[in-house]
Amino acid sequence: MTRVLAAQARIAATTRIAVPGVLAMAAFVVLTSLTPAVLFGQHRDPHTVLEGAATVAAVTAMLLGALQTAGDLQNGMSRALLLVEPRRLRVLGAQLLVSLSLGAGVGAAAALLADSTQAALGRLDLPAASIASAGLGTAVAASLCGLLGAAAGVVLRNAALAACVILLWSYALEPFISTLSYSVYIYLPGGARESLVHHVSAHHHIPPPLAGGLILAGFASAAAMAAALTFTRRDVA
Amino acid sequence: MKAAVQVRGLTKRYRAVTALDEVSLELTAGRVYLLVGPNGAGKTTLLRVLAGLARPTRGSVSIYGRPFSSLQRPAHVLGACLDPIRLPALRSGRQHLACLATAAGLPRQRVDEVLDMAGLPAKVASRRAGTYSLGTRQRLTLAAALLGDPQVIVLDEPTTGLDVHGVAWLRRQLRDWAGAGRTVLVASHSLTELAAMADRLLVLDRGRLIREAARGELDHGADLQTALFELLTAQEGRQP
Repeated sequence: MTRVLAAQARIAATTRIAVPGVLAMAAFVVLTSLTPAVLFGQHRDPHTVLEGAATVAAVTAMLLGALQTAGDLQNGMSRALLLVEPRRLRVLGAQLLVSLSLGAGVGAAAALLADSTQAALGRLDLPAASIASAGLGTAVAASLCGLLGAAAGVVLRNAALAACVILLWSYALEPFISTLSYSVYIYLPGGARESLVHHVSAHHHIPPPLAGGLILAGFASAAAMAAALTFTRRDVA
Repeated sequence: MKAAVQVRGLTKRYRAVTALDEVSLELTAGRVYLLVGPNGAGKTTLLRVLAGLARPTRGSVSIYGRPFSSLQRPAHVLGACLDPIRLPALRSGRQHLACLATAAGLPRQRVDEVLDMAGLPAKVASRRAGTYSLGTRQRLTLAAALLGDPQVIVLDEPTTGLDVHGVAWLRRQLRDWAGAGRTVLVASHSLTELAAMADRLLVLDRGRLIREAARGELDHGADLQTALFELLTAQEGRQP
């Protein structure tokens, strides 16, 4: 398993989507954190900024995971890999673990950037424990979303389709569901992510971070099982 | 002689299409087998099932007595060169092979060795695979198949895109591999290029293995292309 994991890490490093993806995410976090304050003098609540960073990190991790796995299936990398390591569950497990780790890195980077920009603006007036807890929540959410995205890529087998599904789900369907019924939304991946980063609402019940983590882990596990069923049963083109 | 590859009652269906129909064969070590047949006969499907990429609907395939997926060191047992068109475009040829070598637990120096064997210069191997010509892709795919120095070598249309030097190299390699005790299975339409190198011919037609014979038995010393055409036409129940 170790060598397959090392190979998958090498594949992710040489695919040339991880670095541009993380850089784009970093730029987005910095811009959305700084722009309102620098250009318009509007200072947002720092916790809102940290939550925004968590959302961007989670979606980035999902996209990177999906593009990696679906891309490998489309461009022949999975086939080439299976010719030297035909144990499919090992190959898939390594892919998912790499996406999980990459997601954790993306989440940690996003949290650090959001904290840094708020500190630079002199607005990080939150207790250290809250900052650390939100950062940890962001890293956990992004890592589980990385796994979720990678599993979605294996099931959908098409990088463009997977990216569209993830973006539509994250930025259209989930927000729409939250407006219809927040009590349903909190049990979806987006709501679970908000729980993980200690979202506070005066109007809605938000489950505690641990519950959010368990909900997201449940989605990630279900997606991993669906990916395992798909990957072991279907032919590889 | 113990069979290196055993295929028993292999059937592969894609919805309503039967790509392979009860194919049974045995391949022994030290021989080159040429798999021939018209388009859609099931040649590529057979190779894909052998390499574990496609699941049989019925029947079994074993390599040295075990399914490919249960071999301890699969890259050392079977190497396959299938479809050179699809390669990760943004990764260099060397990076591509390095990823595969890592997965197979092979040392990095093996990458340089197979690049050298397949005639890919270091400068070319360092370029992104997306910039490669078809012939260079074919060489890279061949290099990948040879990474584990496998005992069974499976090649699908290996002359596609290769120049005359490449074809000459491949013809020599086929005999060298067989001479070293390896089992070689080649699917090809290029009878003129590869038939002379084959020990035995396997003829597939509409998913069925209709003939297995030594090369001389099939063509009786005459033109193999014509012999094959006559065999396939007779199979269809029509006169040539």
